[in-house]
Amino acid sequence: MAKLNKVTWLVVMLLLVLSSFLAIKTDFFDNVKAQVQTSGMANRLGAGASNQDTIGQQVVANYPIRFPADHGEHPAFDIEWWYLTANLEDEQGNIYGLQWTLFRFRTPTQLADKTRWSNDQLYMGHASVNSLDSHWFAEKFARGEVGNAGVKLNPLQLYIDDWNWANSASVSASDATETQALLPANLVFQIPLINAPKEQKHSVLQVSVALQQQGPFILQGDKGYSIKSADGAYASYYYSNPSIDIAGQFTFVQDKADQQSSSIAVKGKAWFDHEWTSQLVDRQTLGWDWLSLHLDDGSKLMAFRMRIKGQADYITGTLVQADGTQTLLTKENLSLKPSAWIEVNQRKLPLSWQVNIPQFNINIAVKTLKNEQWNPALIAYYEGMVGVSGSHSGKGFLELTGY
Amino acid sequence: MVINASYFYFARMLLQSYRHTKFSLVMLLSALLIATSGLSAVLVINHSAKQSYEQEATYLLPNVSHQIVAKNQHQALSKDDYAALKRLGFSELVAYATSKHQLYQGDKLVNKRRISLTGIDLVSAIALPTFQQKMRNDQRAQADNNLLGLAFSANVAFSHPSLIKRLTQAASSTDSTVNTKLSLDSPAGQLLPELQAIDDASLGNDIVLDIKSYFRLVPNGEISGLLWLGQSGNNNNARLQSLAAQLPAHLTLIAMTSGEQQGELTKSFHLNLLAMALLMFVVCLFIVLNAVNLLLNARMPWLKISRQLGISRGAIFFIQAVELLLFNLLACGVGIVLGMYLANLVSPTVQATLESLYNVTVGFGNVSFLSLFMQVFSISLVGSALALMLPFRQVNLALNQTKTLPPNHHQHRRWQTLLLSIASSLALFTLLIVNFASQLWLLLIAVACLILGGCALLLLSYSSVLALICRVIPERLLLFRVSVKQSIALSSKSKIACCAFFIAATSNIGMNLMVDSFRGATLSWLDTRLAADYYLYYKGEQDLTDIAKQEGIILSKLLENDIDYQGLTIQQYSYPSTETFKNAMVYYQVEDKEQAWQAFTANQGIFVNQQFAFHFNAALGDSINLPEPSTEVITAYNIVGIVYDFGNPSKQVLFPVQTFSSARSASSIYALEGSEQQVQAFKNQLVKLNIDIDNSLIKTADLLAMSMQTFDRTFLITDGLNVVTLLVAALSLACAIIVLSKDMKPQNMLLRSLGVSRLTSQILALFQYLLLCIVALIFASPFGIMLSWILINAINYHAFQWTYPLQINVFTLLQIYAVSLSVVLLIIFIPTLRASRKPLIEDIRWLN
Repeated sequence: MAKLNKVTWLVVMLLLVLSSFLAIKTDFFDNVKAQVQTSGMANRLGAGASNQDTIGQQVVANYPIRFPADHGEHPAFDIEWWYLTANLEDEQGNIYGLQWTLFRFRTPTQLADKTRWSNDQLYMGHASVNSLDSHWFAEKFARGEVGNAGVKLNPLQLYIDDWNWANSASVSASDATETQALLPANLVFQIPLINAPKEQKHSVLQVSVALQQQGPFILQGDKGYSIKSADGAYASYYYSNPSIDIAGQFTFVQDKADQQSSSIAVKGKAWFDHEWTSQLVDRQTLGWDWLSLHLDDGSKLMAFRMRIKGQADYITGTLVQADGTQTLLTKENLSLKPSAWIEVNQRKLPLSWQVNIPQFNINIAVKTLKNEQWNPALIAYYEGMVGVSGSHSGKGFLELTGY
Repeated sequence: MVINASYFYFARMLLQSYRHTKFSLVMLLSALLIATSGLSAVLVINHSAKQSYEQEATYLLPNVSHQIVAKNQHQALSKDDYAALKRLGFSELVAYATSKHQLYQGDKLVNKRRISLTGIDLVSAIALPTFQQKMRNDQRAQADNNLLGLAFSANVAFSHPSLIKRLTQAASSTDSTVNTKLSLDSPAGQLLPELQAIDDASLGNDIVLDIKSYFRLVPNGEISGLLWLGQSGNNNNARLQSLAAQLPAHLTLIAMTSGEQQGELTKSFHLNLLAMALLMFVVCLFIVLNAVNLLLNARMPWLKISRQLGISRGAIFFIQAVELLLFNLLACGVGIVLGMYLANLVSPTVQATLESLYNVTVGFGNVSFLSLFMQVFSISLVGSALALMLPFRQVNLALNQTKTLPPNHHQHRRWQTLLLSIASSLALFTLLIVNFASQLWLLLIAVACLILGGCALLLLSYSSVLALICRVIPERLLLFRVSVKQSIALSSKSKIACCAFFIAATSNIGMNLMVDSFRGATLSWLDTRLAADYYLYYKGEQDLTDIAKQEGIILSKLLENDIDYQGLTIQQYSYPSTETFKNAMVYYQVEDKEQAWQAFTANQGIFVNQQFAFHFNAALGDSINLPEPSTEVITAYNIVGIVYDFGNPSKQVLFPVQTFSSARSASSIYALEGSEQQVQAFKNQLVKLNIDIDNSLIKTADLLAMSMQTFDRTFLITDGLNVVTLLVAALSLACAIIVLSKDMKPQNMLLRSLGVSRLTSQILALFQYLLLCIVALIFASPFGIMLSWILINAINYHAFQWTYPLQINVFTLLQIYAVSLSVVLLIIFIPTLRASRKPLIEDIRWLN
C-alpha cells in the first residue's frame, strides 16, 4: 500500500510538473492534456472502461495472486513497483537506512511510438542510503526495449543499469520455483554521496547485500486486492514481505586518487512490497504519510494516512503479529497523528507521529532517527529511518509525500 | 553669450543649407550606413560563431567530454552495446543518433541545406546529476521543462528559434503552425513532431528530439555514438579509464572537441573575419572621407559667409563635428538592423563553411543590441573622426587663405621619395613573410602589405604613366590630349579615391583568379579521378560483386578504415589497380609515374594526399609506419607519390584495393565500369534487391555536373563580395569626382567658351575618370595575380594543407576589367549627368 502511495504521488507530481510548464505554452498543453486524459495515470477510471490502447488493465476483486509468477512484471497495468526498505547496523553499532526501488510505467500505445528502440514501457530506479551524518542517493531512468532495465523471471532478476536484484538460490536448484523466487536474493547497487560533513566525504557507496526470507509473503487488503480510498474507487494488487534478514557490505569509494576505498559489514531487517495497478488517485490527492515498522515483540505494522482535497484523511493499515496473524486496520481501530513538525529542505514535515491501536495495546511514538532524509529526485520526497518508543520499541521507515 | 549665439546661428544656417546640399548629405549618410551595416554584420557573424562553439552543451546536454563510436562502419554501434555498457554501470552514457534530411511543407522543399535530425535518449539523460545540475543552474526554465516533458511524454522536437523562423519563411507561410506540418525527405514522408523553440546556441542547424521519436521518423537509422556526461573530479577520470578498458573490440572512446580546441581551430576563421572587418573599416574610411569632403565643398559658400559674419572657425568645426556625431548615431541605429539582417542572410553559408572545415556545430548566437551598438558606434566614431581630419584641415586652409598657393616642387619630390621607400619596404616585407612565415595572421598581413605596396607604386607612377599616354595621343586629337592632361591634375587630387579603386580591383582580380584556378583544378581533377562510368552509393549488407560479374560489369569497392597516425585520425583508402584508375591518378609529386604505379600495385609503396604530406612533413621516398589495412599489423611503407585531393579536410593514405579485407573495412562507394546495356541489366538486379537506384546509382557525368554546381553555389558569396567591394570603391570615386569637378571649372569654362558642346565636355570628363580607372586596373593586374598566388600557395597551404596550380586566364582578366569599368561608369555617370544639366552660364561663371 505504502508504495502505491509513493508511486501515485510520483505520477501526480510528474503530471503537475508537466502541466505547470505546459501552461506556458497552450499549444503544447493541449498535446499533453490529451495524454493525461488517455493515460489513466492521473484520472480515476471506472471499472470495465478499459481501452487497450489508452487505459491499462483494471484491478478487480478476487484476482488470485500466485507465486512465483506474480513476482514478475505486469506490463498491461499502468504502474508497478518493487520496493525494499531496510534498517541496518554495522559492527560498531552505527545505524543505516536503505531504500531500493524499481518502478515500471506503461505509456499509452498511441503515444508510445513503438520502434525498435522503445516499447510502451518505462523504468525508473531510486536508491538511497542514510547514515546519521551522510546521505547517498541516485535515480535512474530507462526505456523498455533497450535492454538495460526490466524484470526477468528465470532466474528472477530486477535490474536497471548495474543495479541488480538477482535470485541467489543455488545454481544447481532443479526446481524452477526456487530460481524464479524473489528470495533469497543478492542486491547490488552503487550511489553517489549527496550530503555529508566535509571531513567524511565518501564519493560513492557500493552496496552488496544478501536478502534471506524469514517469513511468508503477506497479501494486503482482501487477498491482495487492496482498496485505497474511502469510496473504494482506487485499488491495487499488493503483497509484502516484512520478514527479511539483510546482511552484506558497504564499500566507500573515495573521489581522490590518493585515498583508499574502505568496506564495512552491515546487517539488519528489511521490508519488501510489490504492487501494480491502473487505478490511481487524481489531482485531488494532496499526498500521504506512510509507516512500516518492525516492533521488538516480532510484530510488523504498516499504516498510512492519505490526504485528499475536500475530504477527511483516509487512514488504514495492517498489523502482522509475531505468530503471523494478520489484521486489517481502519480508522475505527487505528489512530495515526503527527506530533511534531520540523523544517527540512525549506518545508515543514511531520517527522514525529503518535500511533495508537488499543485493540492490541499498542501506543507508540514514532520519530525519525535523523531529520535530513529528503530524496532529491526529479520528483522529490521524504523517505527515512525511524525509531519507535512507548508501549513497544522498534525500527522502521517513514515516507512523506506531497509537501 | 556671443559665443553661444554664434553657435546657434551657425547651427540654424547649417540646417537651412540642407535644402541645397541634399545630394552630398545622402552620400555621407549612405557611406556611414554602409560602414555600420557591414561592420555590424561581420561582428554578428563572428560573435555567433564564437558563442556556439563556446557552449559547453552538446545537443542540449551539458559536460559531454567524450563519446563512444564504432571503430569502423563494418560493425556498427548497436542498441545491445549500449545496454551492455549500461549494465556494466556506465549510466553516464547517453545514446544519440543523427542524420541529415530535407524538409518539405506540402510539395515545397523548405531547407536549402540539409538539416541535422538528432535523437537523444533523454529518458536516460534526465536522471544524471550533471543534467539535473544544469537544470538547477539554468535560468531558461522553460526550455528545461520542455525537455522534461519531451522525455516523458509529448511528441515534440526542439530547434533554435532562428531555424524555425527560417523554415517558416521558406515555406512562405504566415501560418504559425507551419512547423507542425513538415515532412521528412519527401512530400509524403513522415511528419516531424511539433518544433519547439529553444534559444540555445549549441543547437546549431539541428533539430533535436527524443530518440524514440527519431527512430519513428528514421526506422533504419543507426546509433551514431554514446555521449559521456561525466562529473568533474578524479573519479570521472578513473571511470573513463575503466570504460575504455571494458569496451568491446569494435568500439572506441574518443574525446569530444572542447570549446577551447574548437576556438583554436576556428581562430583562422575569426582572423579572416577580423581582416574582413578591418578591410570594411578602411574602405568605409575612404568613402566617409570623400563624402565629408564632398559635403564640406558643397557648403563652402555658406562657411565663407559664416566666417564673414564673424562666426569663429572653432564654432564652425564644433557644430559640424556634433552634426557628424548625430549622423553617426542615426546611421548606427539603422545600420545595425541592416547588418543583423545581412548576417542572418549569409549565416547558412558561414555555418556550412565552418561545419565542413572544422567539424564543429555552428548555431545562432544571441547578440545584445546595446553592446553591438556601443561597439559599432565607437568604431564608426573613431573612423569618422579620422575621416574628418583631412577635409577639416583643407577647409581650415580654405577659410584662412585668400589666394591659391603655387605648387611646391620640393615638397612634391619629397613625397615621391617617401612613396618609393614605402613601396620598396612593403614589397620586401611581403617577400620575407611569404617565404619564411607559416602563421596565418602574418600571411594576412603580407596580403595587406602587398596591396598597400601596390597603392604606393600606383601613386608614384600615376602622373608619369598618364604623361606617357598623353605623348602617345596624336596632336590632332587635341581635346583628348587636353583631357589626359587634366587627368594628370585629377590624379594628384583624387589619390584616396584612386587607391580605394585600386584595392577593390586588386582584391577582385586576386579572388577571381583564385576561384577560377580552384574551379579549373577541381574540374580537371574530378574529370580524371572519376574514371568509372557509374558510381553506386550503397551501405547495405548485400554482396554486389557476384551480381556485377554476372552482368559483365567491373565493380570496384572503395574500402576505407580510420586509423591513428601520430595522434591523429587519418583515412586509409583503397584505390583500384585497373588501367582506368592508373590513368585517373593525378599526382602533385612523383618521380616516375610508371615505377610508382608498379610499386603501388605490388604493395611496395603507397600514395598519400597533399594534406597528409604537408601536415606530417612527409616527402617522396619517406618510410612511414602504418597498420596494414586488413591485418592491422604495423608495417613500414614507402611514399611513392603525393597526389592532389582538393577540398578533402582529411589526411589520406591510398593502398591497393586487394590489401583490404571487406570483413574489417567499411564500404559505401562502388565504382562501376561497363556498357550502358550492362549497367541497365545491373540496375534491374539492384531494383529486385530493393536498392533505391534513383538516388544511389549516379552516372559519372551527372556526378561531375552536380559537383561543379555545388562548387559554383559555394563561391557565389565570393562573387557577391567582389561586386560590393567594387561598388564601395566606385562610390568613393564618385564622391571625389563631384568635389574635383569644382576644381575643373576653369578648364571647363575655357573649353565651353571655345565652343565645345556640353555633351563633348561631359564625354571628355568621363574619359578622364575612366582613364584613371584603366591605369589603376593595369596596375592592379600584376598585384592581383600576386595576391592570388599568395592565397593559393601560402594561405591555402597553411590553412588547409593543399594547393592547386594557379591558372591565369586572360578571358577572366578581361571580364574583370569589363565588370569593374562598367560599375565605375554606372556610378560616375550620376555626377557627370548632374553636371551636364547645368546651364552654360554656370560653367563659365566659375569665379563665384
